[in-house]
Amino acid sequence: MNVNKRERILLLATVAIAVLAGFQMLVLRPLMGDSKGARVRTALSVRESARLRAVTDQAAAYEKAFADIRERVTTSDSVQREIITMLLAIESLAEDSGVEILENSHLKDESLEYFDRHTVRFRGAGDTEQLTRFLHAVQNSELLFKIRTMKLRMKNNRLESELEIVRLGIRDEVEP
Amino acid sequence: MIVFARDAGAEGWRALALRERRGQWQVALSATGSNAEELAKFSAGAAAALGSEAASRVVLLLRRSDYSVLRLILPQATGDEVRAMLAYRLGSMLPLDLEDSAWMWERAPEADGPLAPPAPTQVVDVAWTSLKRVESQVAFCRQAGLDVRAVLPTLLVVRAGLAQPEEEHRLLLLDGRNAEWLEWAQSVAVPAPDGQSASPGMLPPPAGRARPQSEVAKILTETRDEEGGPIEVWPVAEERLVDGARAGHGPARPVPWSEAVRNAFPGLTQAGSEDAADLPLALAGWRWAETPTAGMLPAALVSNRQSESRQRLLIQVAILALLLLLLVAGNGAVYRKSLERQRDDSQTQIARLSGRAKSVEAVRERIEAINEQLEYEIPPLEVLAALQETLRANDRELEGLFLDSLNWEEGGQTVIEGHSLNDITPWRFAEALNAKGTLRVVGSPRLQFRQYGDTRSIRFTMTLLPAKARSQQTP
Repeated sequence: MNVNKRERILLLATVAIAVLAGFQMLVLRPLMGDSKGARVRTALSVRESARLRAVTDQAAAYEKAFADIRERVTTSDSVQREIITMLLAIESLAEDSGVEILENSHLKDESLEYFDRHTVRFRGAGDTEQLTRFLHAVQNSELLFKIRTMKLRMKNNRLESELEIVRLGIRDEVEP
Repeated sequence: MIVFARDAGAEGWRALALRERRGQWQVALSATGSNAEELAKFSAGAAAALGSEAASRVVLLLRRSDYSVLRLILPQATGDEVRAMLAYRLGSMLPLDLEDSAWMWERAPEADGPLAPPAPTQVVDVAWTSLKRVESQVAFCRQAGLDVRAVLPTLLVVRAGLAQPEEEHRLLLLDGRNAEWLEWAQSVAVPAPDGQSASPGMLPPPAGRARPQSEVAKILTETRDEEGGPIEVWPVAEERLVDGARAGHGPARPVPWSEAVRNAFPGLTQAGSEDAADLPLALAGWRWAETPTAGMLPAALVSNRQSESRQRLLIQVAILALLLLLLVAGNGAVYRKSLERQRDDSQTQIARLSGRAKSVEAVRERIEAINEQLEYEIPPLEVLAALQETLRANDRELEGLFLDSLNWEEGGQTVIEGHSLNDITPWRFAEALNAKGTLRVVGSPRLQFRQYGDTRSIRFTMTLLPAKARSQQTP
C-alpha cells in the first residue's frame, strides 16, 4: 500500500497517541491508582503504629497513676464493711469540724462498669465556718469522698446542710 | 521525470574526477571519439556555462582510437559551479572516490599504452515516488553489484562495471516497482552485438546506440506488473530541460535546476505544494537550489540528509519518550514497593504493640472513668467561698441582701434563694457574681415581691453555673 508523507505522519501520530493512551490506561493509571491506595493504606498504618507507640510509651505513667488511685480507692472485703468505713469516716470528719450530725445513713449502692459506688446521706447543722471546714475535710479525704449534692438552708440562725457523699470501690475482677 | 540536460556537443562525455589545485578547479573527463571538433565544442560549452571562456583550458591526457581522457582547467569557477556544470552538461555526477586518483591528472606516458581506461559511469535515472525509499533502493543496488555513487531525490547515479563506457541508459522506475528496476533495466537494454546476455546483477553491455527514450518508454508501457496491471510511465522531458540548443535558439546555456524542473512540470510552482503533490512523480520534500552555482547535488543531498536526520530525530525522540514513560512506570513501581514495605513494617509494629497498647488503653479508660467520678465541675466549697467573698466584698452595695438556701448539684449547677429589702440589690449581687469570674448567673434573677404591712419583702432566686468548664485532667 502506498502512503504519502502526510498520510504517514498522520498514521504515526495516530499510533503514537494510541500507544500513549494505551500506556496511560493500562499502565500509568492503574499504577497511580494502586500507588494512591498503597499511600493511603501506608499512611493509616504508620499513623496507627505511631499512636500505639505513643500509648505504650505512656504505659509506665498510666500504671503508676492507676496504682496510686487504686491505693486510695481500694475495695473492702464486703459492701457492708465499705459502708461502715464510710459512715465512721464521715462522722469523724463532722465531729472534727464541729458540725452537729443530724443524719448519717447509707443511701444506696451502684455497680458501674469499672467500680462500685456507695452513697451516704449526711445531714448536719452548724455555722458557716464549721460547715466550710467539714466540706473541706470531705473533699480532701484520703478515702476520696465525693459530694454529689449539697443543700444548705438557714434555720434558726444555723446553717443546716444535707449532703450525698459517695465513695468508689474498684472491684477485683476488673483488675488490669 | 527529471533528468540532467546534456550538452549537444558533449555526447559520450564523462566526468571522472574533480580536484582543486592552487585555487583552480580541474576536471578529468573521458570522451568517446577524439576529434578536435568535439573537444572544441565541449570546451566552448563548458566555458560558456561557467562564463569564463577565456580562462578555460583543456589539456589532453590520453587519446586512444575510441576515447580520450582530458583535463579541463577552470580557474575562475567554484567547486559548486563546476559540479553544477558537470551535472548539467554531462548528465552525470562525479565518481567521488576517484577524486584522488593520480593517474587521471597526468599525461599518459604512451598514448596507446596499457593504461586501463577509467571505469565508466552508468547513469540511471530513477524516479522515486517516495524519498524514503532511496535508502532501500541504494542497498538493493549495492546488493546487485552496482556501485552507488550519489543519490538525488529523483536521480540515482550508479556506476556499473560495463565493458564499454560509451553507452548510458536511463531507466524509468516508477512507484511500487522500484524493487524490479534491475530486471527492467535488462529488459530495456540493447543486447550486446555478440549475442551475450547481460551478466546477472549488472546492466547489460550496450552496443551500437542506446535506445531512444521513446522506445524505452514504449517498452516500459508494455511491461506488466506482477498483478498484470500496467506500469505507469511518464515521458522524459529532456527536451524541455534544455534551453536553446535543442530548440535551435543558439548555444545551450545552463538552466537553473529549479527552472529545469518547472520546465519539465509546468504545474509545479513550489516544492511540497498542492501542485507538486499532483505531479506524476511525487516531488514532495524536494528542494533545489535556486541558482545553478549552489549546485544541485549538494542541495539534493542536503535535502535527503535533512530528511534522514529528521527521521532519526523523530525516532530518537520516540525512543526517548518511551524510555521516559518506562522510567516513570519503573519509578512508580519502585515507589509502590517502598510504600508496601513501609506498610509491612508498620503492620509488624502494630501487631507487636497492639496487645500492650490495648492493656495501657484499658488502664487509661479506667483512670479517666474514676477521675470523671472524682472530679467536680466546680466543688461545692468553691461555690460557697465565692458567694461569701462576693457578699463580703460588696457589703455596702449589697446591704439588706440575705441568702436563705443553696442547692448544689454534681453537674455544677447551683440555685440560690434569698431576700432583700429592695429590688435593686439582687441585680447588683448578680452583677458582682459575674464580675468575680468564678460563677456566672444564668439568665437574670427571678424576683418575687411580698408585702407585710408596711414592709415590702423581695425574694429572689438565681441559677448559677461555673464560669469556666472544667479542663480534662489526665495523668
